[in-house]
Amino acid sequence: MINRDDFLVQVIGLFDETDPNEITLNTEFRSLDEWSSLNGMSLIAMSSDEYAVKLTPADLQKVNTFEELAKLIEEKSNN
Amino acid sequence: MASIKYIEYYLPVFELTNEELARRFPNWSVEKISQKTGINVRRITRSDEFASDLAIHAAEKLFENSDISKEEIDFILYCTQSPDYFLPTTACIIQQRLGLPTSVGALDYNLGCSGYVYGLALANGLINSGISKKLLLITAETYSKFIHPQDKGNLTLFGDAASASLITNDGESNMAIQNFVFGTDGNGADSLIVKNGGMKNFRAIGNDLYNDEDFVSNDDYLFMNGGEIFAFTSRAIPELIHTLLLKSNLKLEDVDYFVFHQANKYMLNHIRKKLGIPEEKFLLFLESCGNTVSSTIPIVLNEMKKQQRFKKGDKILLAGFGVGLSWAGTILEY
Repeated sequence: MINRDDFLVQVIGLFDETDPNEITLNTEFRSLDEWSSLNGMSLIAMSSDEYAVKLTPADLQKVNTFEELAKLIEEKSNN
Repeated sequence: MASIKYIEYYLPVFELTNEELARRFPNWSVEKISQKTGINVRRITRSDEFASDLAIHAAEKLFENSDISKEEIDFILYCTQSPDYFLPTTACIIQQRLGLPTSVGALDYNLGCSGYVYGLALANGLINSGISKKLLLITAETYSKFIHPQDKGNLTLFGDAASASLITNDGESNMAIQNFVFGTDGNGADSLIVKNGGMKNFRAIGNDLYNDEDFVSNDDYLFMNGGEIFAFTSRAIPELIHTLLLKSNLKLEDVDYFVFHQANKYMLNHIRKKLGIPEEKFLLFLESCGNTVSSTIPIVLNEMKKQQRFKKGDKILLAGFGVGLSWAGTILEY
């Protein structure tokens, strides 16, 4: 189980041009002004780094919100 | 003790600008990407211009701007993944084109973004063992020739360049080479690769793979799994730095400047923050040339020397990392 508070702190660290208050678990990350494919890479890196779960760009394509991303990482880590 | 006495670099003339990329890929946010990567212009070779040509330019510049004569050079180390031929070794061709004595030792070695630090390690060994007295370390790369014309991600990041450094043991004021730390993980070989063209897939012909409208890969061209490389870097580099500091009996605060391989600003800032390095100690120079693979570190060193950033006694930590996967770090004392 991923601790959602820790997860949110990690995610906020990856979006340094966005007001942290704007980022919640329900935020659709692609709708953030600063979103680019580089942020996508950093999310994949965070998953690998913090949770030892390797995501592909295609995996990331399937999710929209940070909560969905956390669930995807949990799902993959249980497999 | 071996030290770097002179560093020069050369960039090809043609500029690939953000405006040009925006024109080629109208549905893509080039401005946003370049703001994040910190790259506005990449310099690209012509179709009839090769890494060895850039290498010659960089080396000639070094001879022009220094008191070193060609006759004094006794060794060439040439770092490239863009050799002229499978054989002969490009370093032999460089000996002839530069007009260096036939008594020089010359060899190529194949590394990417860790290549400059590796070159310093090899040079250090050759100098300290008395085999060489004045060694020419050249890095030259033309990744632009490996990049598919539809691969907007890699087109945005990479630029072509060459650097030439003179390594000596003459003890005059320059950058003394200290300890090294290395890392290798072939598990990540397929994260950054040109699959076809080597002996394993010698005459294979790749196909363009697309995901909807987006170009994904073609085995004839450079492939990079950006997420994997990002993950590797954020895992391996902090560890490399800590090991190097421990080996050198230094604390992070004792280091005056950090010169990392200039992959892109976004990733570098991510590692910088993870390590807790203050921004003013973290040197960047990639806006006008992009990620030039094995030449990024010598380019930063050259530019910062020109700006007189370094003072006597400064400790400068270098870290190179990328294709292989391969990583290496060292400390220079100015």
